[in-house]
Amino acid sequence: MSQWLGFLKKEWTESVKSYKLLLTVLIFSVIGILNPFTAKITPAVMEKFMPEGTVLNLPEPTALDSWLQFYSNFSQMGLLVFILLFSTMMSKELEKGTLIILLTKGLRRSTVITTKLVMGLLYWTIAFLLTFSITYCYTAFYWDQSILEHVLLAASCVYVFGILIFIVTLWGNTYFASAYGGLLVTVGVVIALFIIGIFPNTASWNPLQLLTAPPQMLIGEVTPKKLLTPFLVAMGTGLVFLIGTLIHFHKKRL
Amino acid sequence: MNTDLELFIEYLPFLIPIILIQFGLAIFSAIHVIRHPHYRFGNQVIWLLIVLFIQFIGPIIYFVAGRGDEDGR
Repeated sequence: MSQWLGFLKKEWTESVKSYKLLLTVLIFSVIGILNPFTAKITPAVMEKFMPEGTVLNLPEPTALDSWLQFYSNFSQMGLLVFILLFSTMMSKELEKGTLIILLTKGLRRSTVITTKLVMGLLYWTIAFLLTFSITYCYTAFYWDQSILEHVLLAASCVYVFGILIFIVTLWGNTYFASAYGGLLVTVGVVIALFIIGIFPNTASWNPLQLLTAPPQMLIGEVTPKKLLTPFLVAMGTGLVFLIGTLIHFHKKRL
Repeated sequence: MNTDLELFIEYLPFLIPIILIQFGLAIFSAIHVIRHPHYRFGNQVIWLLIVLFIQFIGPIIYFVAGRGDEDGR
């Protein structure tokens, strides 16, 4: 156990020293601020740039617009930034061979994977909480949020999807031992999910629903119950990929 | 003109943190690029342009992929 904590501490120090903490905090607070900002400024901008004489009947932005921005920014830009930041976590060590010394000294191989997983999840949690709380505070300050339902639950769907994508990246990164390999696998999985999503009858289980359904959940069109299967599928797939990573790394020649 | 100023003040609670963070990050990364002139690929000018002109993604790409090791490799 102390070995595990020690390696976790090493991971933490490394991520701080390589400016990952700094970048995460800064970028995700900006995303958090941008959501309500975009929602608020869009009507004003439209009015400015429309040719004179055009009559536009833009409704006043509401809390819903702010949260819609959250779903487009955080689940695209945010996820991209997060995956980019952590796309080299295994490949860097494998390429440089820094793990060999530790592993020959008796460090368990599963420790390496689990600590990296926990560190990634920790960063994803920090990122999510930052963006969510900043967006929430601004939205509560400018608009009435009582029209929305399940604000936290809907947002946490994106969080769960992020966990799945992160584990897939970790697997690809370990398997191909290069940053590009991990990224390609992730992009491939997301594209595959989108292709599956074309068929309407897959909507009941496709994990991509965790990204596309939350806005409808806010206005009460989708009940949280409907997302239970996608949630379980996402968690199950994540677990399979995690076990796959552990097994593969256990046999991997370094 | 008056309405523009009012509009500007209305959005000030958003603009101040966004501008501070964006410029802060760009300048911080630029300083890092100049003070650590070893990169895995590319040269100083390219990295300065990337870091200063691509919002967010530029500094990330630099710190993740472009930053060389301390021993100059």
